[in-house]
Amino acid sequence: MTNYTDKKDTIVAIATASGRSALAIVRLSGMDSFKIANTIFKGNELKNRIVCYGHIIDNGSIIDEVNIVYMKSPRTYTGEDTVEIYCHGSMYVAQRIVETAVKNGARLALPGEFTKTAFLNGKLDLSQAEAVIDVINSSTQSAKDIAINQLSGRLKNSITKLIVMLTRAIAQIEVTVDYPEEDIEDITIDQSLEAVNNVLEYINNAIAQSERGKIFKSGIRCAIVGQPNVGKSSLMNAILGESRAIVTSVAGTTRDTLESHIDIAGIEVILTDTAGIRESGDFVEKIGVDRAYAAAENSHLVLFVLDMSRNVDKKDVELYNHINSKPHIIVLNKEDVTIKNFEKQLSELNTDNTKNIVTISASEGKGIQILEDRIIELFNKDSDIMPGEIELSNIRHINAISKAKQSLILAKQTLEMRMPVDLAVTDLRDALHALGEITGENVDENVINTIFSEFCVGK
Amino acid sequence: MSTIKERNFDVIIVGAGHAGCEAALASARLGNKTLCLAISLDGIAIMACNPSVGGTSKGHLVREIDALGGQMGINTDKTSIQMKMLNLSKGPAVHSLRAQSDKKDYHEQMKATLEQTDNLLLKQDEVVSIIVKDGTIKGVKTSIGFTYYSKAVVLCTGVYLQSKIIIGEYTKDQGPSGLAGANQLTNSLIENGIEIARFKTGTPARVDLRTLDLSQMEIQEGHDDIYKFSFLDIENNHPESPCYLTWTNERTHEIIRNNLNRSPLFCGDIEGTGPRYCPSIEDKVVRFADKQRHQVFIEPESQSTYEMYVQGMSTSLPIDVQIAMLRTIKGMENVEIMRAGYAIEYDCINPTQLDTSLMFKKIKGLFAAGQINGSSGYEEAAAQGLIAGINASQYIHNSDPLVLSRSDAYIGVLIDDLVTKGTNEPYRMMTSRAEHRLLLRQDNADLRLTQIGYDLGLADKKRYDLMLKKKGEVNQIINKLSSKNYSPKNLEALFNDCKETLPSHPISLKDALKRVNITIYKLIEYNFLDDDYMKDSLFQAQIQTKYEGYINRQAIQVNKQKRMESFRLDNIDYLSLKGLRKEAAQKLNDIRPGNIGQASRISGVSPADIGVLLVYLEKDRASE
Repeated sequence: MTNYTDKKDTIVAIATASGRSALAIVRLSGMDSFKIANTIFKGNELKNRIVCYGHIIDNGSIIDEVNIVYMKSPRTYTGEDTVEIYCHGSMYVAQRIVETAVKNGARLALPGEFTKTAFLNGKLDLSQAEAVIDVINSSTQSAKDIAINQLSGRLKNSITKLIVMLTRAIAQIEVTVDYPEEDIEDITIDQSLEAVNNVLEYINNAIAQSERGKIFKSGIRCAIVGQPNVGKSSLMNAILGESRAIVTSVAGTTRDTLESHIDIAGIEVILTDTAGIRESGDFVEKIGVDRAYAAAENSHLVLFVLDMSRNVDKKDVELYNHINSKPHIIVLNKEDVTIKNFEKQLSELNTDNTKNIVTISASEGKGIQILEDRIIELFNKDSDIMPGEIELSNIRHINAISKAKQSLILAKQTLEMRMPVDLAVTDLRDALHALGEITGENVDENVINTIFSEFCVGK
Repeated sequence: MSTIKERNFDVIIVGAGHAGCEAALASARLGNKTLCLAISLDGIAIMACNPSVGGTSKGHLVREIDALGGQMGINTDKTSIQMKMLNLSKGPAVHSLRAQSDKKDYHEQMKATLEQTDNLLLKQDEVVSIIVKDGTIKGVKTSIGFTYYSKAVVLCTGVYLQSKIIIGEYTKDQGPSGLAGANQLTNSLIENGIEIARFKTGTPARVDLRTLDLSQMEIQEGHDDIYKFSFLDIENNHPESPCYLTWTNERTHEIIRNNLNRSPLFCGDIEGTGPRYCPSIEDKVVRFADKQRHQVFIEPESQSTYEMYVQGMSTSLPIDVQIAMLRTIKGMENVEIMRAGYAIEYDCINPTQLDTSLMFKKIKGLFAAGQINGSSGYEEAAAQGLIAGINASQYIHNSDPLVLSRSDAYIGVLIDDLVTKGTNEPYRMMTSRAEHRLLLRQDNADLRLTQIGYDLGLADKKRYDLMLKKKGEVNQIINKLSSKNYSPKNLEALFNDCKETLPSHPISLKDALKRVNITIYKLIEYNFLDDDYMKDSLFQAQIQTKYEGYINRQAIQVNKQKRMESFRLDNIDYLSLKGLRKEAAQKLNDIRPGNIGQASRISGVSPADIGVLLVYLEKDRASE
């Protein structure tokens, strides 16, 4: 059951409207807001009502450069301790920040929950309360939409499949618990363990592939990486010229990268040009290279650019080795002069990604269409980069799935310790409830229905 | 206003089955002048179906009834002829006690208990109508012409209302076991605005022991050395009797399949909704066609009769088919049926018309308990009867009703499910319905409930003192277990004996006991712990220690639920609440949940609706 008014919970959500804008605001409210902010934010020391500058960090890597304000209760919108994080206006970035907050103890806010909390803390008057109810009411519709319409066919099928798998695993245990004398073979710990492992594997796939879902929601993050003057900017301009730019270039997630949102075949692609790398001088270059690596790290796809007018050198190889493990396309930029048999040079890279090499001419705009097709192709359903059965496009879904996973791990531990099988049911049921939150089903009745439809029991 | 044909009582109980007996005893023991009316005094606490009490989750209910000061546990312990602890291979939360009962003795002992109880009058008579004035119960009228007035009435009509038995093509308006049905009360209930449903259930044939070849069957003995239903030590003078196991086979199934056209279940003559929990053999053969054999247990009805119960063969097939199919079963080739199996249809109510105290929302002072509420099973009936009897008493004394929560007891789960969700088939208790079952164990029913029973005045001093002693000892043992760390060297012998890997650093006995293979009895054997505790206390301390992590996790879930249940919902006009979806408003208006927790369990009420309710609650509070 969701704990609607538990004041112990600290809630988090993106406070700005979805869609693209220069800035987005992520808001935390609740007792632990300050603590969570201090964990995920590195920069100036947080002080009540002072704007601080710094970075949101997850697992040591920078998610975004932000301004952040901590506001101590009670003089806040919700009446609780509140933290507002002003980040760049990319839904991807804002969602990453929300996820990081969730990882560190916040709970995703329910629709209208900030307003409701504000009301419950006496921050709104009675007439405003009516409006709150409208907010909640409209979110009823959207909650319903999420349960029914927003679930793509594939997602719904996959979650339903998971629910069926898990329901069956629980029913198999429950039937022997409730009907110990029936002519049903007692389920062994190992059989239960196998069933739990199957569900876990499926869920792990789902989580791994939730990246893919995010792509459709927030776009393919695509970093252009290469040495100075190999034609990165020309490539970016060529793609921007070729495609319909949906947002003009804005400052990227770090100061020295440029980010552009474009639409290729209906999919949003966020191009990041690692501009800093153009600087010369050892020190600056060092920073530039680091930034390039960071941008590559945060991308779904790297466009690794080589200049066909010169030999592949040590720095190219070094750079390539850094991005080699990411999905990438090697872009050969052909300008006026071209080294003969440049393809031979490629052996220097020692790449096994030979099927993803595209030759273009950035200045003439040649080959751009092929490159774009290749980008989209890589993210197509059957692509080996992101295969899989589940697309999780919604952070609420991902959250629920993660919760289910945690519970499954607890159940698995119980079984591995050779505890009696019925003890694992508590956690398996928690997992089932988490999945039920996605589809909006009453999963408890399913268990009992499964017992009676699949097993011949009763006197 | 007392005349020969008009009498006054505090509480009237209609029916003396398993619900009626508990209700009558609870009411009388709480000091109320109580009248218990039964269609036949020979039908008091009859076990019209299987001769057994308990089993998974039902055993839990009986232990809870006992812990509160009810009678079923004591009566079962007195009259059992075999006891078994089911699920011993599983965790302690689902260990379940099941007794084979001597039916005749069960009836006689229960009747004697009723007769010997102060404040309780037992009369054979049929109630034909209830008297209601201004939405409040005033009493009942009976078929032989009495009018009894009272402040509270508890309906425990079981399967007697307009009941009809069905054996193939043969049907008869009649109650269970050849007893008369009650054919007038339903109309009076309808006239008073009560919504009626029709359910069905069934029972197998009873056969003559002398016509069975038991040597062809597998013998089924009980367990020794297990605790019984009652927390008190109850004397039992019955020797043990075994049960027998045999199987149906393809020939049995063929006979059933060939005669399905004569089965009232399949040709539509039965209109009532039957339970999935007690499928008839024809049901099982049709629905699980690939199953080649089904279990058949032969169980003694009583030690003073040759009648044997044929568990697993519940049926409403014609009598000639019943004989033919039974005679295909190994060991039953020459079987003689003494009583035919039959299906029975009966009137019951939609239980969502009741509040959580089991009182009708629309008629003050009128309660209902047992099968009339759509449940099935003796234990489910007795549990409701006990609560209804207690609450009838609480009601007439203007005291708060006893409402056990889902985390207090299986009884709480049972009643909450019935009155919140309703049921469209006879409702059977199951451990899988109890979301907090790790806390609701048979072994701690006294620790959970005896204080409540004692405070009410139902559980006596002896029972209370025993519970306090156990509680004290358990705490003492657990303290002792965690008081000191032992070096690996000290633990070596114990760990080797139990085949556990020795820890590298000193640990407490509590941590040692958490190892799968180490039991509290081993700690005693190796002189880590004294032996001067009650067996029950040692067992309890072991469970609380071994499963501590799970118990704590469950306790956190309980706290969340409790919080939701702390938001009370009184007198809210849901239909006028802006923001609720229509379906939810309608459901809430019908069921009128007592709190937010209960509201959230109503099907059709969404999380967003709950959000709306919470906002309104806060708004009301703010405007006060």
